[in-house]
Amino acid sequence: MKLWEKNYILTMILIMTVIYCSLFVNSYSSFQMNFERVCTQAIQTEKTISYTAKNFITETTQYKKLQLYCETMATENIHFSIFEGDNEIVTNIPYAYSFPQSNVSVIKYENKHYLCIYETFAHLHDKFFSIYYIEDIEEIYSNHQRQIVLFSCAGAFISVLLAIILHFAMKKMYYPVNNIAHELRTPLTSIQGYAQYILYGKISEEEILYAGEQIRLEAIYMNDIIDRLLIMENLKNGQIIYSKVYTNDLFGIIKEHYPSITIDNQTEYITGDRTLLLSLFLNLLSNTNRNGTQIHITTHDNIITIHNKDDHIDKKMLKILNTNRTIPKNKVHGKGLGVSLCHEIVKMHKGTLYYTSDSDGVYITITFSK
Amino acid sequence: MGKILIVEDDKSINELMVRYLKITGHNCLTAFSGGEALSVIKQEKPDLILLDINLPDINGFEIIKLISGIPIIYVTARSAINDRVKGLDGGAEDYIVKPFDFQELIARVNVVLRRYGKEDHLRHLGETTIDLKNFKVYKNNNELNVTKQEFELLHALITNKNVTMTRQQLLNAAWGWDYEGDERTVDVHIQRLRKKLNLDSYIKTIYKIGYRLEI
Repeated sequence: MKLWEKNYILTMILIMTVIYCSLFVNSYSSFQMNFERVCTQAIQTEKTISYTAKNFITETTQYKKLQLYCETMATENIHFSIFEGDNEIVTNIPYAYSFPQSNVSVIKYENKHYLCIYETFAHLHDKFFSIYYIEDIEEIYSNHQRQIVLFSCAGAFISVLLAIILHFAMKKMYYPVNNIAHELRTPLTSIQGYAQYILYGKISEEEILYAGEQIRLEAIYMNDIIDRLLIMENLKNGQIIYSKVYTNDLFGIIKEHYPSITIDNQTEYITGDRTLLLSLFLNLLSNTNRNGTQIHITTHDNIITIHNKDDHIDKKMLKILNTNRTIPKNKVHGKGLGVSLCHEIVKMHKGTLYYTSDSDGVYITITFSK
Repeated sequence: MGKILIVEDDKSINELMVRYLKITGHNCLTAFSGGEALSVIKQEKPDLILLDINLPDINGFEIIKLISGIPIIYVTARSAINDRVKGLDGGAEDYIVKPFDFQELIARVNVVLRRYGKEDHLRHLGETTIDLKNFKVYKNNNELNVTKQEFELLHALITNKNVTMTRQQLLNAAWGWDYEGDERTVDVHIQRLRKKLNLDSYIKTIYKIGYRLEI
């Protein structure tokens, strides 16, 4: 398993733990609040019933008024039993259940939850009277279950969404590392190999010179990769120095590299980082120069156009170049970092880079913000 | 010696592998893409293929599916364990990760060629003939008595001909990795070999490094 995949899985486990724990805590605390509210209301009802029942208890053993009160309350869906000692004297509870002897408890009967309150509410001579009050609280339990299902679905949706976003973000983050490691291994193999060739091989003076030259070229190639990576790293960190970059100076250096280029310059300066702008133009010109040398640069206000009459880019490649996607390996001539670097530089200068191609050649248009 | 096809898109590494394998006596064919490799294989029927995975057109893992009967060694910058497993499971004989030691590459190439019976087991050094398969040495068709260490030294030098072998490498080849003796032991045995087989003109001393068998 690759390092980024391990990190991705660990991060996802952590994120999912946080999501599900917070959803669980939320759901549990909401249930607790509802339960406490229902309990308070039930205790109040029980107290009212106890108070009324106390008034109906007289010295006679006839509890007709109490019986009538009990039946009336049953019509209002309020259920209780009143005991004299251990003997039930009145009840309107429609279930046959042995109630717990604790003050407040929750019982489960026929898949329903009931809140059960027990209290001794009156003493008359040596007799004591107690009440069992019972209330159906299934609604808050079923609400809680619905909430758990809903939260689980929401958690799963958020996790999947985050998993997708994180997957692409981490892959993108680690991709250059893999790519760079691969890019650096290739010149390193040559350097190590040619050094061994000089050291251990039975070779002529001429071959030694050839191997030495190969080592030098590969070292330059490695240095070039590192330079580009450093520039890209600085770009990503936003470390660029803005100043007035005079186009005459810039194109003067470009002319030294590509003497055949013709320039029609009508812009005095561009605001940006001199090194990065130079790197941008040299990269763009290096790419197009491979396919032909009839290159003309036109500058007008904040728009710079590079036109190569000999170059041609197919539609598929144009799409890749304009959307800054990864260029397929078989179409990359160098390290594949060039166009990506150009896009990064233009983006940092709040500009746009656009390739077009027709029978007249290839046009690269760079528009800088004013 | 073996006919080896090198499939590597990096020109510098391709050229280097050719040079190395040539000085050790192998014949080399080159290809810079998967498509080119397939046409060379069809025409030339190489004994062994050194194959890169990241090729411009066809992936090395795909190429191996199109080839049968020719041993393949992957030579690649892809170092991940799942790539190595995929490569070896796919039928490769070996998997070498860049950057690699070229003497190790030659050793691995020789092992695969030997396994497939493509290595010439009779080697000639002037009047001396060395039979690598039967561990015997002949001088003018008369068998000579050489010790195990002397034979192993000769074997290491001849399979790496024209390449300098350090004393430590020779010590490892003849006495094994766990031998804790002095590197000077190699010098004594080389002297004996030179004398016994009359190889003074073939085995060169490379100052402060080791020995090289030059042909």
